[in-house]
Amino acid sequence: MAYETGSATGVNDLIGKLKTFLETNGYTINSFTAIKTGYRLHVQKGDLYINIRSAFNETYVAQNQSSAFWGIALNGSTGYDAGAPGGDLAWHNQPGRPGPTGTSQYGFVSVAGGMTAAIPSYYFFLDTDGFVACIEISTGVFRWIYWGKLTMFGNAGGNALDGFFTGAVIGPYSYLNEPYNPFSNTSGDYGVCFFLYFNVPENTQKWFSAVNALGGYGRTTGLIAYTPFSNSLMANNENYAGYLHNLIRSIPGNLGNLSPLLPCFMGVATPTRDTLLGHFDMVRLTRIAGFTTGQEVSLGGKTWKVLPAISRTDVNGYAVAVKKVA
Amino acid sequence: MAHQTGTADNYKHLLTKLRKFITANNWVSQRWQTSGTGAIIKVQSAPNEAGSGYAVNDVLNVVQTGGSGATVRVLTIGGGGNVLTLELVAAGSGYMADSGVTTSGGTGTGCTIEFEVNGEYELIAKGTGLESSDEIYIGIKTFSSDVGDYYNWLLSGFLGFNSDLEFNNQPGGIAVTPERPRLSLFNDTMKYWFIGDGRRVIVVAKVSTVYEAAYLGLLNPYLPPSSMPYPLVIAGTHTGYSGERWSIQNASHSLGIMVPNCCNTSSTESDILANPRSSCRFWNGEWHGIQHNYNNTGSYQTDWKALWPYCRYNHARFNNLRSNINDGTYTLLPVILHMNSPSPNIFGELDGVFFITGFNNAAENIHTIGGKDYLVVPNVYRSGIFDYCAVRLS
Repeated sequence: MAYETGSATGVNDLIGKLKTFLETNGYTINSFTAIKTGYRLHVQKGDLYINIRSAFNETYVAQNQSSAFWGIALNGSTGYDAGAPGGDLAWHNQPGRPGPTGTSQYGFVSVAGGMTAAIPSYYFFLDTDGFVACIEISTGVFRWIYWGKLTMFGNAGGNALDGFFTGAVIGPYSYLNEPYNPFSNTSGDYGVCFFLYFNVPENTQKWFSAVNALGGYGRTTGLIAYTPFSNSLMANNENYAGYLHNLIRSIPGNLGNLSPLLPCFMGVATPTRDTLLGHFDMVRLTRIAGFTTGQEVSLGGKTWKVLPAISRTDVNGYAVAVKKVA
Repeated sequence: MAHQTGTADNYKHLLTKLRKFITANNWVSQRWQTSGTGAIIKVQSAPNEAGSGYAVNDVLNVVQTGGSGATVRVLTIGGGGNVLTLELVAAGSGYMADSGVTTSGGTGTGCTIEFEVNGEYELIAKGTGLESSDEIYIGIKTFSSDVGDYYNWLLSGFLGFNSDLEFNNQPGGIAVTPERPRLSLFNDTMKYWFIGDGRRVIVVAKVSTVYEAAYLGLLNPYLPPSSMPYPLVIAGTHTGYSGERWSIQNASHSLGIMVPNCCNTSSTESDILANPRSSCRFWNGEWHGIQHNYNNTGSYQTDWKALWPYCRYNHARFNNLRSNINDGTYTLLPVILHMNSPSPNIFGELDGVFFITGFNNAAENIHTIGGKDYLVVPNVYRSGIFDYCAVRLS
């Protein structure tokens, strides 16, 4: 496990600190270069490739972007190609990235926006193949980026990349600077919270999109990934039904202020059946009302740091507990 | 934790066997009685202990405190005079069903027998927990109707036991109105599974072509005893609303450990608050009825008191779930008792009961997961993807 916290003067300072943190902790830096208002960062850990881009008031960071963006965008890929086509969009057009193939398509990304000023605090967490960044974009308001491989249920088997995911809070089309929850779903029209790789014949794109319904405008891959959080705590509609929905609604408990840390389940919907693939073992999910911001909880020799998904005052009040000490 | 699988002759015999099982596993029988005269109506042909030195046609006295006048006759013996088969001669009175009951008389010694008596049975038992220091009270009463062709158990839980009070008036018992959880059995041979320790007992019975399951005892709470001192769950499969017979197929006949459902009794959410009739009841200072839905549809969620993940809106994310895709193994999920209103709470997990998908699965399958065996149990008569649970046997 590795952990770092600090502050940054802005989103581009933050991506620099991220690059240093990853490099210090065993990641290969395939590229780190300035581009327009930000930087593009390509990192690799084993066969997991992550492509990251910072931007500060820029309108065409990613395909399907509809308005100016201040923040960090990312996607995953199965390789790195310094000469990938796409011009300014080549950063998210790496081999095996989510999204359809085609000369006019450059892949899909997830974004964490709203980073218009100095970053009061950030928290980086890293383990063998997982990473989580919690970014306080203004006092008490948070955004998240993350990637890793699921702890798969059953024999992982299949493709070595099965269970690989990258995510943030929303897609790049609209509301991209607005507060949305990580590990959640929303309308496909707004984009994808996270993309999950799972190699099944039914999905030629290999990536599943964490949305409640496949959106138009080509912003989602062919099939849906199921999320642990629902988009809305109060929604009672299967389209918003995160795996943990009913339990999250009952947190914190009236008895003893009970706030369990629940597994971060992820699954996929294929045309024939749904599959509960596994869970992200760096993360547990709960609601922030049962904790102080940044509270550390020791359970079974592990220490979890609990931070708001968006803010303490957000209507859903979700919280993410990240493993700080294994 | 212990488990036992076998065959019972009928709904009363099943309770006799259950009593024997739990009293060998940290439960103490507080009351074991019949509504009848205690006349023996059936003796198991094979003795529990064969003894030795007996002769054919020996007539043996049945020796049990409170009983008198019953005798059995030795029909066949083995080479050492060990009893192979016997039959009832005189019914006597004042007996109570049991096994391993001593006999006297005849030419030999050591023969013990098992028998049933007339009337309906009543069992009240105290669980002593895992360290023999707890006091967990549960009760089961048999009831039947030849006219209605039903032969069932009535289930309850208590805060204590008072030998002067009848079943319905035991301290803290589930109120008689609205009706209490039941288990639909029948008056014929049925396969059963008992799983138990000093905190709770689970009964699974195969009744003709359907499966019934009961859970009596504590759940595994997420809070210490100071906050949740007595998390008692009593679950059957219905409350008699739509009839009592095992063959009834509607939403009100459903495993209380999965989808405790009384949809047909309530068309609005507010009705449910006023009428906690449910096949699963939970003690949290008062008896709560667990129910996921109302108006007989999965999209009308109560969210008042529910069992995750079975409580999901239209069973979303779990009703089309396949087994693990790479190896066909199964992932188990705990069944978590929680509620959202009038106050939010997550109480804990049913002990030894898990969600499992019905994909490529079948009743009575045994899955070994993490070195433990799990019995697959369908929700009464249902066979859909969402209609199964797994009960840990080991």
